[in-house]
Amino acid sequence: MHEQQTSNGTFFLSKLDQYWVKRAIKPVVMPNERLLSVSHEHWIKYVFPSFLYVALTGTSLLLLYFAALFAPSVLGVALFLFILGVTLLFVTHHWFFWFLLAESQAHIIITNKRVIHIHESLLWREEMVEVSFEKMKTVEAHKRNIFQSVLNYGTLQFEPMVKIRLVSHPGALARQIEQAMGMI
Amino acid sequence: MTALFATPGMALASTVVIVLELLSVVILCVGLLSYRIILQSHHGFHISLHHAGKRARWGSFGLLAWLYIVSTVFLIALTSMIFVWQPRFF
Repeated sequence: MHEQQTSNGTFFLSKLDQYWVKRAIKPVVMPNERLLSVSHEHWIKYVFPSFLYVALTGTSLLLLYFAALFAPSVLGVALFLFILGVTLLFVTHHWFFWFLLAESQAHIIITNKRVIHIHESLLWREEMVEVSFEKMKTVEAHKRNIFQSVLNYGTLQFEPMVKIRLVSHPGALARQIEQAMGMI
Repeated sequence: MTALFATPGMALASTVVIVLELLSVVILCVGLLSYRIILQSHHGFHISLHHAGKRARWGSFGLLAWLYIVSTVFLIALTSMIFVWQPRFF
């Protein structure tokens, strides 16, 4: 009986897993395709959300502190502040970690046949930009301002109006793509 | 320390806190499941390409996911303790 329940539970989980895996983006490998490099987007994308996370967490801890301060005398206000603080704390916490988990899986993949940019959010957004070397005529690396020059990140732009932003070392990556295309 | 279910107000607040904490666990599980699926999808593509290609670094389930689990459990424990013990600063 116990074994039957376990097997049913496992069956349900495996079916659920299969359903989600079917929904996920699966880039298809071309014949004779070889991986040349995989790189992450630049870390600058984490700066503003991290700042926001610290500020909102600080605010929620302050609300909890005020709740404790009001606790003995004005219980209603204390409870309201406590629930507000806890809600803000949990919302901020989960938003930040969902952002981190999703962004850590954003990759720029270069193979001997194409460039693939995968960018996903947990559950609701799946984005894959793919540029084949057959369609690509030129590749350009842009650093728009002094900030991007100092931190060494920028945008890769391909001929059929495709842009990949927040690329670390865009110049080096553009050279690597040109090599793969046989342009140099 | 005010008893958690002594008055209607406290009972309501206790219920809200418990619901928030349970919801937090559910969001954690959904997030981890979704993250695992993204990893599996990327890993499958990587394996297909890797046989003749250069070795590449991909994100691993390790540190971030564990940090998420530990920090969520810590926050749940912290908020529960504050709510149950109701510390008074002055």
